[in-house]
Amino acid sequence: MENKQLVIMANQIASFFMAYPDENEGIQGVANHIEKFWSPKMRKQLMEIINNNDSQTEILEYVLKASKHF
Amino acid sequence: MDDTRDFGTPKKDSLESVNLTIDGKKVTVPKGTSVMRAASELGSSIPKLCATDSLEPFGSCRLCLVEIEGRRGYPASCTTPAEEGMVVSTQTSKLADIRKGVMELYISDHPLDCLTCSTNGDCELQDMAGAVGLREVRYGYEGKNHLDSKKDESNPYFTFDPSKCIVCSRCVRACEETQGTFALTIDARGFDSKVSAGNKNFFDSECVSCGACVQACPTATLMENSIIKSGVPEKSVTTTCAYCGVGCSFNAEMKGEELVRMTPNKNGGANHGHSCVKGRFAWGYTTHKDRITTPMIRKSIHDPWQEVSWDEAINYAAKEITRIQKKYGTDSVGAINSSRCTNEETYLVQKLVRAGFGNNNIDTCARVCHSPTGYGLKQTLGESAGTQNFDSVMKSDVIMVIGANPTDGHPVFGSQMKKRLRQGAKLIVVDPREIDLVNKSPHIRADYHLKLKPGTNVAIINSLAHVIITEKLMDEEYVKERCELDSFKIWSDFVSLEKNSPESLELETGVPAKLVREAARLFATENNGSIYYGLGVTEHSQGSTMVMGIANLAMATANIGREGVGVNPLRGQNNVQGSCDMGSFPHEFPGYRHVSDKETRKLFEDTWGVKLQGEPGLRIPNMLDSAIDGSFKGLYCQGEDIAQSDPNTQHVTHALESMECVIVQDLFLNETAMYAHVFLPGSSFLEKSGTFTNAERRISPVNRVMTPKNGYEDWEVTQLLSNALGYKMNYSHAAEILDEIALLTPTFKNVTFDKLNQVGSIQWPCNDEHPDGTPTMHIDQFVRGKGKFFITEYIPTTEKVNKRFPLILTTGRILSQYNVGAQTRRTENNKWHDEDLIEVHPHDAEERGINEGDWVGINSRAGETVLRCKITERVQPGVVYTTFHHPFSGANVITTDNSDWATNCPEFKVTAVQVSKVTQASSWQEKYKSFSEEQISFVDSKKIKV
Repeated sequence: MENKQLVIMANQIASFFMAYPDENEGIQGVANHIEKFWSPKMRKQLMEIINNNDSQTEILEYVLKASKHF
Repeated sequence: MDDTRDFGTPKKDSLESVNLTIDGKKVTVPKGTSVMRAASELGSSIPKLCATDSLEPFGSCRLCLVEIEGRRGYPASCTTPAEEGMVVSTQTSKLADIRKGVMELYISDHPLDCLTCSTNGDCELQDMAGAVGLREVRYGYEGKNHLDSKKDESNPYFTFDPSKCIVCSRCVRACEETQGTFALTIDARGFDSKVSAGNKNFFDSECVSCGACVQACPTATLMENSIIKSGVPEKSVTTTCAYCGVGCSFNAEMKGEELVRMTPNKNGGANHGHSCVKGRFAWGYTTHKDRITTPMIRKSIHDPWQEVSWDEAINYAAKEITRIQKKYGTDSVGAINSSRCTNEETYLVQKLVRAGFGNNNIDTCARVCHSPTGYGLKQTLGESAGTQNFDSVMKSDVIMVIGANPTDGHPVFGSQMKKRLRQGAKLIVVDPREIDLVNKSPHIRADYHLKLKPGTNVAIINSLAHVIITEKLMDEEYVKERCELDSFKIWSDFVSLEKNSPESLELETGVPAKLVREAARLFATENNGSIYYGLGVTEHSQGSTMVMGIANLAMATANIGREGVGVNPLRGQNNVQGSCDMGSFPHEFPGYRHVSDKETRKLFEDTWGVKLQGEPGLRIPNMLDSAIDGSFKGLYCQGEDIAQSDPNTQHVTHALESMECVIVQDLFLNETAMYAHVFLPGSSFLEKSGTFTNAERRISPVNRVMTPKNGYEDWEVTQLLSNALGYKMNYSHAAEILDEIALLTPTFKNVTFDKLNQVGSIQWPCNDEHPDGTPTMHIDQFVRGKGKFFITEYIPTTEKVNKRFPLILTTGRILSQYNVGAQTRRTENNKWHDEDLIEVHPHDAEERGINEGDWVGINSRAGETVLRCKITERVQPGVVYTTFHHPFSGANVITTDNSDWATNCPEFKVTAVQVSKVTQASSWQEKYKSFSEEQISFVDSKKIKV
């Protein structure tokens, strides 16, 4: 899967949970969602993008914070 | 127990009852019941012609007269309500004389060709002549008569022969009361009275060919062409329609192995004896010459197909899957099952993937339609399903229809909804386009049409909620008792923000704030408010958010947990609900239990005898993306046509071309099969047993009425493949698979195939707590305990209009065609819709110099196609609309990869496009034409052995 597509998907998820007043709840929501619905390979790829700073698209802060909970 | 008798007038549901005596026998019936029905329930049948129990009594034929003690004259039993203490005689010598005289008059203007008539042996007029003992007709044919009236054979499915008409008005009343189209009328007066389709032939009239008139006709006046051709059936088997999510029950009427007629089952829980043009008539595809009934294989998609035996095909497919997994890993293969297949078939495909392939790469076509429903309703209410039965709409006081077009997409339920609207229920339509319910259905006009810009659903639902909360129209008691208060507080604070007011969002949605405010007030203040929605809600980048927004609104206004209310997803295909129930998503087992849940996994592992993966697998778009990146190499696709139905066609076909083995199981060489290496012939719904679950969670039996033309029911093919792969399955009937489903799925616990055939259908949950099923969910509490409100921030789609792509394309469907059209295009339904058109508003057309019928190029960021133009004000300026029933149209060549944030359901409903007048097909269409012609030639040459 293309890195760009994966980052778009993660950012979309984060955008939903960013509306929550409690930031921790929102970040946990992102992490739970990705854990529950993404295959391990997709999660691994996202982690690699984050760790290697390998995205041409901006990764939202919530995704970066949520990735610590994967 | 089903009763197929015609009781003459409809059943009444009054709690009060009356006692009367009919022909010396006492009978008790609900207040309001007619004397005719009361007599019928006693077993005594009063002669009748204009009465039938699907229609309100009319009292015109004068055959059902009775004598009632203390009353003068001979009242018509159909229009006379039973009263306390009434003493009725239905058979006296005087009545016999009157009835004989009436029949004599009818027969005096009726052709006496009974022996050669298409309804010989199945004609109420003939029956009544016998019942009244008519032996002679004193009036000859010398006078005026209608015997030479010309037949109307314009409709491809039925013939109107006015020479046989007795002007009983049953057809006219059926068109009005049952279907709600009002296409028929009685023209002229007295002897000149005749049934008329508005002075047009049937085909050109407003008639929607639902068949209600044919069903109601007591003579051969309106008759199915299949019966005229083949004669009356010799047996009948009850089964379930394989078209839309209404799931109508039908009687498949047979002569040996030949289907001669499908008649709607009056005891059908979803349809109550009604039907639409698809289910009633469009079954010819099941025996169409295009069907492929012999398995085929080939090494490359550029090779001709070879016909092979089932053994060869199955072994080849199994070897390829094994080879690919050995070379690329366990997760390099997967499957897509279909909502057109039975519960048992979809269950078995997901079992094959999880237990046989050893991964969770199973997905279903609900991914591209109602996956957000499953997600959104599970989060808010606790169950991935609609909350009501269809009959619930008859108790609604206000109905909100969002992004759905029930009269076209779910016609039988659409008729029921129209009936309720004609009774006075209020209507709010939220749709970018003027659907028929807005102002084109007779005697119905939407109270509010919120004609929003495509992609702004969430803004609208938030602004409706804003009004309800800020004007304190919510039901605080209900929320306190039934919902999580913390979540309500957060949500209500959110929707109360000024940014969510109708005024703030007016520019974004295009809907005047005043209308939004009034619609919100109407919805919140009527007693029973129900919401019905379709793909116009789900197929957006915020599809799941919108589903949650709908649930929020229903909870806040106390509109869940009783009849007349609820959140009602109108599912697209016949078994969308069922395929989702059966664990067809990669993250969950049957019954919506996550694969990571150890206890559930152990249950399945113990039953299936194999270790299972606890991580989610790939969704369809993930499979396609992985195919392009080289990590996904093999696909088993049962009954789905992703090359036509899924977005961004060129991306889909690129992915299919990138795979090493694509196995397609289908009735026809569909678009996906053109990229396949193994073709496994499928069986039609008439050739298999199993169950379908419709949009109201109703599990209905599918009964095999003929031998599979391909040799196997679809589940048997999956079993063969599984066995060849080394994972043993040994079912001898679909009922055994259903038993396994019931064993493993709490909501199906007490469901068996025999029970379904006995009672007709059951709405899940059906378990020890609800042994007869559950028509209404969440009555005392929500499935998740307390209902949970979710914040639904409006996030505009990234699919923006700009100078290059200034219009928004949205898509939908039409009554006569179904989904990708693989079935309906192979029937006479094509006469109504033989090509997809692009609807353009007059202003947009004028700006571009486009005229009605012009070829128009439609360009998007994903691709280009060309369609013929229809200029109409049904669409708003800035919006264009098309259907996707014909592959050459390439509607999905222009739709993009954008998808719902939670489920990856594609954003079919919003594509930025430009349209312009052109003179030739698009380059994609040219390529498609030559590719598909080549592929078809590969089938024609399949007997050439390599």
